[in-house]
Amino acid sequence: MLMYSHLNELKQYLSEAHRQIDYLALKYVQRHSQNLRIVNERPEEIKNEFDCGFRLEVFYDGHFGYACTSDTSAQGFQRCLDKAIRMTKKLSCNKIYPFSLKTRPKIVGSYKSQIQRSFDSLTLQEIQKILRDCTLEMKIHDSIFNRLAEAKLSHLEEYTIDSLGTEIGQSFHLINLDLVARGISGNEIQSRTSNMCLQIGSEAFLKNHLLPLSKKLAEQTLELLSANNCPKGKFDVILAPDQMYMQIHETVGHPLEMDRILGDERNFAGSSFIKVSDFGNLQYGSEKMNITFEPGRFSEVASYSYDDSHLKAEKIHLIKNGLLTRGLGGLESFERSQISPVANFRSSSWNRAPIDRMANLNLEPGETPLETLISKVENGMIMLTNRTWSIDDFRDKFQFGCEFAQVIRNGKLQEVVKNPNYHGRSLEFWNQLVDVSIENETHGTHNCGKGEPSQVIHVGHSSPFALFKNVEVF
Amino acid sequence: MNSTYLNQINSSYNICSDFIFKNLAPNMTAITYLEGEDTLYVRFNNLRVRQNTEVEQGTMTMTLFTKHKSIKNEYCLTGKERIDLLNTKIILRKAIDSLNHSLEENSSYQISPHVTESKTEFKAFYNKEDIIAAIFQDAYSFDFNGIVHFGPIIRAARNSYGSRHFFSTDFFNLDYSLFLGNKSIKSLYCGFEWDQKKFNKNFITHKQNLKSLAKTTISLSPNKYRVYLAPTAVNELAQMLSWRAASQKAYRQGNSPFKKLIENHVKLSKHITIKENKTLGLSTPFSTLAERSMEQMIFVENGQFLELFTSTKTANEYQLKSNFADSNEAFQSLEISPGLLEEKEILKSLDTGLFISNLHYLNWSNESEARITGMTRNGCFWVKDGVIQGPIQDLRFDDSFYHLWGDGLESITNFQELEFDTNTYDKRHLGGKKTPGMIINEMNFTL
Repeated sequence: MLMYSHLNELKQYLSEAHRQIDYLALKYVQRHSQNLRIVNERPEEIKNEFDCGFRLEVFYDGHFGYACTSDTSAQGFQRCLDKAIRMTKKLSCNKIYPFSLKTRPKIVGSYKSQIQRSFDSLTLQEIQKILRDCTLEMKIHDSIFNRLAEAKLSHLEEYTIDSLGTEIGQSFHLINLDLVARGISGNEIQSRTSNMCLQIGSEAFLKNHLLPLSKKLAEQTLELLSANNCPKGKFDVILAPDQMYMQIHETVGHPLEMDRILGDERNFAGSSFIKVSDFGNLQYGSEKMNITFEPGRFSEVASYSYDDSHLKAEKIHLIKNGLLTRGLGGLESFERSQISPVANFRSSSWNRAPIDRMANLNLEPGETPLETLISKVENGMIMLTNRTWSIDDFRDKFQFGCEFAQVIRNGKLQEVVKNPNYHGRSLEFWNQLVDVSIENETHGTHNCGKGEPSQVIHVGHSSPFALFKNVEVF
Repeated sequence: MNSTYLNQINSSYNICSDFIFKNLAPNMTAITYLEGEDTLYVRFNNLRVRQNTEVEQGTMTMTLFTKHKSIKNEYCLTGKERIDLLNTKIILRKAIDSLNHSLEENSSYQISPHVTESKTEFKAFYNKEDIIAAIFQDAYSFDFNGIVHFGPIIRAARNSYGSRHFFSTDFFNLDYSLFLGNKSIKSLYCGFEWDQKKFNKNFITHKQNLKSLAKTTISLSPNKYRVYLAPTAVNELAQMLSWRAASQKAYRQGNSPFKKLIENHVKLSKHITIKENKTLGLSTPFSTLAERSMEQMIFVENGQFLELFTSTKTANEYQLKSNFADSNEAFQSLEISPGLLEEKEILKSLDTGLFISNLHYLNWSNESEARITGMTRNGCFWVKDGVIQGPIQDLRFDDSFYHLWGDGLESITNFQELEFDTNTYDKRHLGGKKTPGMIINEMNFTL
């Protein structure tokens, strides 16, 4: 599939060059993605992306600097090395922190996505036909005027080598699949969407799952077109996993990123309401709140074995029974803050430097069936599927909108309502968590933006259904 | 062009394009597009260097189409002609094979065979190391946080009919905040020529602004407040217009938040005129389909909707006239026309209300009403009787464009600020905005 095979040459260049600097590492990335979009039963786009390049990381006098290029020749390597060494030496006298080389342990290891069927097991036209059939399933009424099915299949190969003997190879297969049913009635437009973002092979294109799901989305869109607006006021609210993933992402994930807490992101993505002194002391949420960093969970999109500082990825509780215990900081943040690290120092590709990221960040399920959770609500609603999101730069005051809500009265599901929104403040909200379901879903996004220069990366979030009390709904 | 890498990339691009155009099937048309940069990024936290990253990258896009089918291939160039040509041959062969085996599409890229050409070059008048030295010198006493990036950027587009366009530019972009505890002011200094005196003057102004920031923070209840939105805050609002609002395709697919405006169910204030203005020189005068872009496209004139971005592919699909917009059908060089309010009259005119320097993390909260939500950020103040009282604790707003730029819009400043695009997702983006400040008689704050 990929035409690039420069790794052996690059290894040789590195072995010849490493004496020029205290430490030298190379990360080589090649990616092939295919994007297929079907709108109203006809293809709208076929797009292939082939990307390949490498990043050199040099270490001088306690400072790391980077240079990256798509020119994988000997001249490209040397030009890149000269640039990295020159600027890193020049700026090291104004470095943020005198890092040690303990932040780059020597590791030999590998990772491969666990998939059942290779991407090649379906032809381009076979995938197009499945997506086309999804949009056909949505065609249940004239008002469902815009029907979309889109899949992006990505295969990434990453290799890291360094002057200490590290050699890590990681191989990923990712699929992002979106289904959208959009309906119109007069001036009113409503949509229902579904997203799958997983490490998975062609088994993702399971017609027995996708076709009924497509039809259900169209049916729910029709329901929304004739529904009343969501009532305003304070209600008990059950958030479905496809909304909870965004709640976790924005009000737990980002505030716990150590680079935000240490101030690196202040000019762009923002800071955090969390302080270093809060770890081990702050009751972040109710005792039902258990948040884990788990970059090894089967099929979750941000699973891997090692991060970009070569730290081994392990499951770690960040919040246990509501108490904040650990942050999302890699080995560099650990040296700066002394908060125990997790393997989250990641870059989006060869052309960006690694920063503290989320990877898979999950809310652990409970023991209550969803049905029982619903029966606990006297006057409230269940909200499905994130539609809109916004939060302040300290990750405190948030507002979310969902696509679909259903009123719950006296423990029973009632009428559908449209345009549900809610807002709140992070700590107060998580302390209003009443219970979480035994049912659990895995979601993710390939679009988490952060950093200067900016980069988007994929992150995964598994979550149960979660019941919160006294939520401000409008 | 002062970059060995970009010269090599550009040469490779032309050789590969020539090969593609010579090896097409008779019923096939091809468009090629090049994006390249040779950039240095330096990231600061508390005036210390967090990371320095140099990036050389060049990406070529090959679009092939027939009457009813198309395929797009985006691949990186190495700048080594032999390797790039070899890759191009493999990709072209696979693309033609995929095209033969794919389903028929709704529409076609079918562009006009009319040949267009252009060559635009903006040169740099700055020195990277002088700029870095100036930052350390002038920001010495500040908690300085942000990024500076510089270096050349190229774009090129060609098609098999013979159209040929090239654009190169080289600018610096210093995007920073100065902090006083958790409070901050934000600034942007960008351009082709570094003006040391201007930079020094910026820091004298910053010192004065930080004095206002040092006052006790005022906590306001959620409510409706009269506001002045500084040009940077208006820039943030205007960014939302590039999120499907002015796209013909988004409108046709029921995905434009400005449906009511486009269909004349509502109008904006007669004071407001919004246009795409390519003459600002911030972006390429050609599209990714190698068509010459319109110099101006007026989206709203005196409150009345006029035109949407319509790419040739969208025009073909809906039997419309193309205005040669890029396929993303969004603003690249947005300009909002100035009004009459003089800078010295702003506080007096605001009288009592909020002086909002910046906004953050905007998103649609109800698209059918063009309603947005977001936060205040970076130096927002409570003003009473025309006098700044102190900084505010950040507030969340939720309000509609139809109000903010409709019956709520009271006046527009007689000056605008030009900001280059600071977006560096995946690559340094071109474009920017030229926006004035605005006084809004009532803005809805909710949290």
